[in-house]
Amino acid sequence: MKRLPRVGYLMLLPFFLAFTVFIIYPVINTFTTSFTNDSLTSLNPAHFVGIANYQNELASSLFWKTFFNTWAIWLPNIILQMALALFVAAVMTNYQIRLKGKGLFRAVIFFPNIVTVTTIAILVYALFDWQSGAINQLLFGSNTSKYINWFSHGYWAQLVISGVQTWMWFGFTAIMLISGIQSMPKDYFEAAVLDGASDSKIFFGIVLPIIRPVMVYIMITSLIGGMNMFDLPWVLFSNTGGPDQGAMTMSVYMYSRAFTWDQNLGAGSAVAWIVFAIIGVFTLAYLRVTYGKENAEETMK
Amino acid sequence: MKFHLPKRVLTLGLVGLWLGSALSFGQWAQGRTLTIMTFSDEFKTNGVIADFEKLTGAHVDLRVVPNEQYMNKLIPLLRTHRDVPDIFVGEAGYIKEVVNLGQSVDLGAAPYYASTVNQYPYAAEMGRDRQGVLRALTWQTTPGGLFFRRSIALKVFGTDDPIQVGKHFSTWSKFIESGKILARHGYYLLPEAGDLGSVFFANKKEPYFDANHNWHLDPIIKKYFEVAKALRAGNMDMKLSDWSAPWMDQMNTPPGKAKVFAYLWPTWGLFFVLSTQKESLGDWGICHTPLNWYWGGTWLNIYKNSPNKDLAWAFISMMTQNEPYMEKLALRTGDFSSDKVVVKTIMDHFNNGDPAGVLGGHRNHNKIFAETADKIDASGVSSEDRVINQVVGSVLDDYLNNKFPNVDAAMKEITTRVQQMYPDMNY
Repeated sequence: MKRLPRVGYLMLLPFFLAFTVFIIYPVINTFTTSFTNDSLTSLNPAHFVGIANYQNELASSLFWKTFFNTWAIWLPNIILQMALALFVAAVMTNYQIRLKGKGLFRAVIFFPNIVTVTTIAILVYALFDWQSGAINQLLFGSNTSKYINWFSHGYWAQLVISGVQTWMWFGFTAIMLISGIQSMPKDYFEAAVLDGASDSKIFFGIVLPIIRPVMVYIMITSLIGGMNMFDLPWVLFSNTGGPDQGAMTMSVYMYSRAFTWDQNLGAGSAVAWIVFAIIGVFTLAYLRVTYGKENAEETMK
Repeated sequence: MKFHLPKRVLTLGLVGLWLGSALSFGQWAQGRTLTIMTFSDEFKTNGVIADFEKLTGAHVDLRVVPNEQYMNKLIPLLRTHRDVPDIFVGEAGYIKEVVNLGQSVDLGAAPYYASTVNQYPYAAEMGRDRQGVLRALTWQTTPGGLFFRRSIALKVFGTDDPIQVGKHFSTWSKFIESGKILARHGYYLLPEAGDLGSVFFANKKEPYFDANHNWHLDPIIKKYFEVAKALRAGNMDMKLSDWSAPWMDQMNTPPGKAKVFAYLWPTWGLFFVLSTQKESLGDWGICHTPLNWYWGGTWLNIYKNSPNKDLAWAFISMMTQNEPYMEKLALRTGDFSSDKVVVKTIMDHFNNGDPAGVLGGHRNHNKIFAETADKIDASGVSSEDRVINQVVGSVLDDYLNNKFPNVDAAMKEITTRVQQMYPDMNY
C-alpha cells in the first residue's frame, strides 16, 4: 500500500516535467530577462538594467496606444459576442420552440472557431476588399461611391478585427451557455411556468442568475484572450499595426519589440509582465463588480 | 597483331582509374556533412545540392527556416556557438545585419581569396560589412524593370516597342505625365502607388542609421511619397493592395480587358509570377524605370568557427566563382547571374525572350536587367532596412489616405514611428 503513492508520483512526472520546461522556466526566464538589456541583435551577454525596461515601456506613447487599441477591439467584440450567444442559447434551450436540427446548428455556429486564423485572414481580405469584396457589395450594392476602404483607417481595421473575433467566438460562447442552461434543474422552469411567468421573466429572473458563473468564466477567459490578441492583427498587418497603427495590439507590440524591431528581449519581456499585470487588475476588478469584494477574492484563490 | 589484355586486369584497371579519379578530383569529401541553413529549398529543387554531392561526395544537410523567423533562429545559435550551420545565408532585407555580426569568415582573405572582379558591384557590396570586409557572396542578382502591357502601349502610345515605350518612363516627370495620358484613356499606370517602394528603397544613398547610430531619413523617401501622391491624386493607380486577389487578377487579365498598364518586377517576378499568368502571356514588354533598382537576393556566409570551412568554401566557390558552373545553373534555373561574364556569355540564349513566353519573344529581358544591375548602388543599405521599409510603407498608406497635411508631416511621422521602434538610437 505504501508504494502506491510513489508510483502515482512517477505517473505524474511527465506532466510536471513538461510543465516545468514549457511553463515554469519560460515564466521565470521572461521575468529575469525583463530586468536586462538582452537583445537579439547583439552577441554580447546581457546586463542587469533594473526597472529601466518597465519605466521606458510605461512612458512609451506607442505602448499606451496599443493598450487602447486592444480594448477598442475587444470590448465591442465581447458585448456583441455575449449578446448573440445569449440569444442563440435562449432560442436553442427554449422548450416551447422545439427547434429541429439542433446538433447541426450547433456544429455550424461552432465551425468558425476551428478554422485557422490564416484561412480566416484570407477570407477577410477577400470579403473586405474595398473594390471587389462582398461586404461593400452587400452594404451598398452598385453605389460604388459609398464603398468603404476597410483598411484605410484605424477604426475600420479595429471594427473588422472585432467583428471577425465575434464571428469566430460567439458559437463557442453559445455552446458554453447552452451547457450552463441545460445543467439547470427542470423543476425551476416548470415551477415558473406553473406560476405563469413569461419567457422574458424566466430568462432574466431564473436563467441569467443561475448561469452567472458560466458568464463570468467566459468574460474572464475572453478578457485574457482579448488582451493577448495577436494572431489575426499580425496576419493582417504584421508589425506595422496597419492604418494609423490602429490594429497594433499589446501582444503585437510585445512580439515586435522582442523579435522584429530592435529585437530587445528585455523590453519585450517587460511588456509581457505589464500585460500580465493589466489582465490581473481587470480580472479582479470584474470579479469584485460581479461578486462583491469577499467573494471575488475567494474566487481568485 | 592483336593485343589482348586479360579481362580481370582490364576490369581492375578501369575500377582503379575510376576510384583514383573520384578520390583525387571529385569525391574528396566522402563521408563528410555540410550543413546549410537557409529559408527556402531552392538549393534542392534547382539541383545545386545534387551537383555538389556528386562533385565532392559530401552529404548536404539542408535546414530550412521560414524567412520571417530566420534571424530569430540564427542569432541564438551564433550566441551559444552550438549547432551553428557551416553556411548561413542572408536575404537582401537583412544581409547587412548578418555580415555585421562578425561571425562570417573574411572571404577576400586567405585561404579563400574570393574574386568579385566579375561580379556586379552592388552584389559584392551587399556582402561587405561596415568595415568593407567581404563576408558573403551571391550567385544571383535581382535587378528590376517595368513590365508593361504591349496591347495598352500600342493603343495609348502608338507603339509597343520597349525602347520607345521606355522613353515615356525615363524620368519621374515623364513617368507621371505618361500616367496622366493613360488615365485619360481609362487605364491605370500601376495597380498601387505604393508598389514603387522597391524602386526608391534601393536608391537610398545613406543607411537609416550610421555607424554612430544617428538617424538619417534619405531624401529619396520624400521623393517616393511625392511621386506616389501624384499618382494617387491623378487617379493613376487602381488602389489594389499588393498581392491581393484583385491585384493578381489584373495581372492575369487577357489583352483587351486589362486595366492596369504595368507592374514592377525584378528578375524573379518574371519567372515565378508573370510566367504563371496564363491569360496574359505574350502581352508583356519590359523597359527601364527612372531609377535602377533590385528586389531580393540571397547571400552565402561561412561560419567562422565551422570545422568544415573547406567544404563550405567548395560549395560557395562552386556557386559564385566557378563561371562554367554558374553558366549551367543560370541556364537551368533562369536566375540572373551575379557574374557579368556569365551573363554576357549566355545573353544570346534569351534573344527570343523568356522560356515561358511572358514577353512573347519581344525583347531580350536580360539586356535590360544587365544594364540595370550594373548601375545599382547599394551603399545606402543598412541592417534595419527590413523593418524600417515596412514602416515607410505603412506611413505612405496613411499619407495616401490623407492622414497628414503635407509630405513633411508624413516624414516626421516616419521618424516618430522609428523612434518608438528603435528608442536607443540618436534622433
